[in-house]
Amino acid sequence: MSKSKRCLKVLLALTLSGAALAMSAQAATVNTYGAYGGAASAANVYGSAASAASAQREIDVTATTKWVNVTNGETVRFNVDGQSFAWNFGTLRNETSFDLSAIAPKDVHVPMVRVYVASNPLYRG
Amino acid sequence: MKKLILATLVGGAGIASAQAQSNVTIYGTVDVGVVSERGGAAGPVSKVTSGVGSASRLGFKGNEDLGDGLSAIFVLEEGVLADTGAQDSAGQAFNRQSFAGLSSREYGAVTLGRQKTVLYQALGEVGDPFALGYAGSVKNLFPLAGVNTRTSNMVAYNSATVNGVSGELTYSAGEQAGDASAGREMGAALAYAGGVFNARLAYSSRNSDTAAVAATSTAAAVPGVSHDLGHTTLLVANYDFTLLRAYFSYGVDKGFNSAVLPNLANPYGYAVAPKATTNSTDLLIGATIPVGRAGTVMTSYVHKDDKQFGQNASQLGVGYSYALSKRTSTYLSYAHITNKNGAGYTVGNDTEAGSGNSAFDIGVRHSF
Repeated sequence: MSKSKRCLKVLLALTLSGAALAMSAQAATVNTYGAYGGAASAANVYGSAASAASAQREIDVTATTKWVNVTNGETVRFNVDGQSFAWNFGTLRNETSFDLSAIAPKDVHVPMVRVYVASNPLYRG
Repeated sequence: MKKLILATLVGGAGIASAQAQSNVTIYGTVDVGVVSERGGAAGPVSKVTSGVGSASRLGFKGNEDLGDGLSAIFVLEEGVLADTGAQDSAGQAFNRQSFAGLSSREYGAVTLGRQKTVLYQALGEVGDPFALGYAGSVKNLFPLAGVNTRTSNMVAYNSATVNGVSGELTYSAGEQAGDASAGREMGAALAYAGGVFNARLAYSSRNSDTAAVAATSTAAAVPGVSHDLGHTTLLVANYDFTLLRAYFSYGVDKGFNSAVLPNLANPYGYAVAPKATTNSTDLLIGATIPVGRAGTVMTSYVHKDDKQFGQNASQLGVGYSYALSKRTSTYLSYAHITNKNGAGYTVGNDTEAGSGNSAFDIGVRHSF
């Protein structure tokens, strides 16, 4: 390996690690609560799909589950019959309720469960 | 060489992933309205007011995942008077909330700093269809003023929720030299949230003593002031009937400072100013009614029963909020209070105490 190539590789490595640091420095974000992820649809009136890793808590939905209580702003992972999906709640009204099937992915078959959404704690009082 | 590159890359990525597990969120509400008040000694008052429906605020909130379900959390929240740009509380940057703590999924959270009292949370989250805002705010009659809103120097424990049940314990130190009990406040709450039904039982005990100050070379001694304890027991509940959500709140207030007057300015110019009662009860019956795709009607009847001076008061309030988006809404509201036997309650809103016995509000709110 020539000297100049070595220098280039070191430079590249430093740049990449620097970029990683720069990205991590952008941890402070403006709240994305309520932002529409594209065109308004029936589902995103209630929030947006989220990654399972970002979930703050998990709820197991079984055949006997009649309701779940959630809070606007929180991300919940729902475990349904071996399948799962995560949702970040952000509804049009401060408090509302709807059927879980409205936000479940098509391939996840949820029983008849009502979701009761409490107000976002950031905007209370 | 390759090892060096690999090590550098891994090092950089390591820092990035560690950072990705913590995050800070900037959030807030800017709420401004026009308020028209009637019936006070000052005559009709019309003005632009901040925080009519929800107090205007700027906040920073963060958490760091420490692994095994444990997180470090913090909140710094400043009250902003959006009509003038001033701080809500001069000289107290983060007057609304400032705390840090540890939160465990399994065992709950311990937080330390300036935080909301259990009474304020119970009425704001469960008991009041106006969620403490607008002309119909429960704060106009229920004892949430001043020291009952939030306290400094608080240690709070919030349990995890099990089968819809959760609990909270708070201790707020008075921090007065020579007297550990002077000025302290203790609170407890037991909450249930299960589907259509929410309920909470809250209790607060407040010591309003002032510790004696010993004489110094430049100042004379100041004797201590002693009062009986102020207790408030509060039961709040709401039930979703789909067509409407019904609200009920009932409070029993006994002792000094158990029912701080929301308006201390003798707003009706009585020869004898209204007195803060040390024996009273409070009642609220109300509802929120979803209308159409994005509208909500709010209404309540609130009654203060003063068993000491007979200075009773009743309030009727109605309001309408329309969500233009998830972040922006417009609103209007109206409330009227009937005062008896020299009572001096006024129709205020989430930020101001008001000046008369009726008020009409119209405004816009944006949250980010």
